[in-house]
Amino acid sequence: MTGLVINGDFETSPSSGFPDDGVTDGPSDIPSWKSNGTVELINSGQKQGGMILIVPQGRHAVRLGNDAEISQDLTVEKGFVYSVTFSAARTCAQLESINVSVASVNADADDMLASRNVDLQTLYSVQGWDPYAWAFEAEDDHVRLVFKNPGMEDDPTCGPIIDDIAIKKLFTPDKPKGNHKFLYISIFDSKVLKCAYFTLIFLVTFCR
Amino acid sequence: MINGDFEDGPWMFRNTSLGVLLPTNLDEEISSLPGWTVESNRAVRFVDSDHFSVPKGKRAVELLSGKEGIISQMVETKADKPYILSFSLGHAGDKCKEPLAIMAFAGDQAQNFHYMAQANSSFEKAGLNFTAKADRTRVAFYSVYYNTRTDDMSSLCGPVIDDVRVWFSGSKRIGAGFGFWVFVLLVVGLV
Repeated sequence: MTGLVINGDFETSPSSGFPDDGVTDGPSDIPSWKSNGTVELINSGQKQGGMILIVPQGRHAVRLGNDAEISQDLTVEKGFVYSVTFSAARTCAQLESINVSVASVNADADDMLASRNVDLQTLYSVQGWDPYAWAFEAEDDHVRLVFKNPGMEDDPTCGPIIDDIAIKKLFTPDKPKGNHKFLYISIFDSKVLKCAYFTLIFLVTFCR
Repeated sequence: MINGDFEDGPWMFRNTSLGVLLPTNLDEEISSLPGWTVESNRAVRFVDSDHFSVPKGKRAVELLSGKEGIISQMVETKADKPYILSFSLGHAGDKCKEPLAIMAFAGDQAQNFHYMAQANSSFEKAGLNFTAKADRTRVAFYSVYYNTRTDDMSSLCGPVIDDVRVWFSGSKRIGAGFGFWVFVLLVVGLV
């Protein structure tokens, strides 16, 4: 699979429609995603405390409250490296970060295969959000991609906004390992071998 | 080098004009930018030719945050042999305030390269001669200055690098000599 994950832009309407500013606590309220904790679908233009919340792309995004997470199971090819691209924005002045991880679908929820905290810094662009990339190696054909807010802010409505989650299988060429190129270099590195080689060619040519 | 032209990298949305930030990643085997590590605490930006000036192909890397944004790769070399690190250095076309300059590292050498605005091109070619000290040589780049955009004075930006290659210094000459001799011998052989 390459490109947006299913409903990775959060534009698919929940069965009950997009909440005006409701907090969804139950599971599966965001189509194709599992959620845990205070996960909120936000609309572009939505305000909070006089501040307009940033929606990176389209009309909707998701905000993760303290310790909240969303996840989706993906089918990948074992042994390959995948890169996950996602857009993220901060909501409060503090340094916020987001934890991206993959876990084995069949194992316990805590059994992470790879995990990374990504700091969200608004300095990179004035739009207030940026796309980020993170890579993992698929150790299984089925993995659970998890986005979690590791923060514990006093204000529970603080928390990063994420949007536009995509995945791409990377083409990683094998490292050159003692192949003919190195043989070639080693032959021509040595003056003696070089002389011998050209002499041989001379002899072969003139003896004809 | 692996992925020296930066054409392989993370998914980019065509309608997103901000590039993609590549945060710290020390594992060259599992990197969103295959072959490369982001050694620093701060991120560098992966940019596309739809929204930025890219020297070669469709992708390049914009170095941000001065010394706090370093990309590197270990390349296979032969100890005590001369090599050339060549690359393109350019302006991303994103209103980044000049001066733009990078520090390039290869083996025993480190050198500043200042980008001079070009009349017909957004980039220039640069090269660094070095001697390998071991069978693996670290090649690295960071931006010398801490640049921001002229329009908002706060968004981070910086010089773009692309088309990074490491050449065996003697190989070109030997290659030409080899081709020449084959040609001569073929002609002589035919006669």
